[in-house]
Amino acid sequence: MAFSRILLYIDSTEASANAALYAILLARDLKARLDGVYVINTKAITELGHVGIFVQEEKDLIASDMETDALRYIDNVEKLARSKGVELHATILKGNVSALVVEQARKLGSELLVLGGLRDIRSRREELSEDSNRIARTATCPVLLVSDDDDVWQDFEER
Amino acid sequence: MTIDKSMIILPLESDTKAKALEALCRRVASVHGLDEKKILDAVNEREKLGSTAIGHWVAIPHCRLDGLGGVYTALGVSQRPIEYDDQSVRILFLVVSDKALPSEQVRTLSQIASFCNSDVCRRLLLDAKSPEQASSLIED
Repeated sequence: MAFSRILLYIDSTEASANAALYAILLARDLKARLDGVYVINTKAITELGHVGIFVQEEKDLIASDMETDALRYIDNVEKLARSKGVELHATILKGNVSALVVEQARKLGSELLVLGGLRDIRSRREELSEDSNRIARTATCPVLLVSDDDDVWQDFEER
Repeated sequence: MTIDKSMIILPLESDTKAKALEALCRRVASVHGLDEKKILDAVNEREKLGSTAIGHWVAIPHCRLDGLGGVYTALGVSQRPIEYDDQSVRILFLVVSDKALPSEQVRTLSQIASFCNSDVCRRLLLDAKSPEQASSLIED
């Protein structure tokens, strides 16, 4: 099956970096458009404010640092994509991570959503709350999980 | 969320907020080879902005520092209430984060907040008899 429109979910994890490499090669090989989405989890920041863990000053500072982080990660993926002749069309959103990623895939008409392999789930509570897990369970398009075990970096450099 | 038993002080014997914060900062510093004074100063600076006691016997003191290389959590559970600003607390989660890892910090604090939001989890933690028991309870 060919995919002409691929959406890559980008976050600050190593798993996401692996997924980016895989998605770039896939987009190049399939001559597909590569979209990217990074979501700043302002929902979590707001909730931490509501329960009294963050004061306003902290909320502002951490949201700003997360935005800087988002730009840095997107810039890295853009450079990697360019090195393979692929253009990344990236968007930064703010809010509930899983809901926004799923919505973005729907809005863009993405035919494939690429995610990093699911993090090591160390508790049942984590299993329910982990963003990638929730995205994989709720996405309405096919989802490709790039396992951490895959030798993606080597493949990326060789191809 | 996991917290290794080496990062859990149970029972926490400190009888004041200052001593409890010192004990938790000392534990993070000694286990991870960090500067205890820097951590304690940063935690106290954060406390000046507003109390991190959030009700139901829980406080979640935290701070951010440069160059830590990770997000570190310590837990103290006291058998007796500790006066913590205008509240009494028995469960203290200390979260010390590298400034360069804002998303990790938010994720860790959210997981702790979610855990502490449960009456059952808080009760089980208060009833835990050892760091091992508390650690496995948090993992479940």
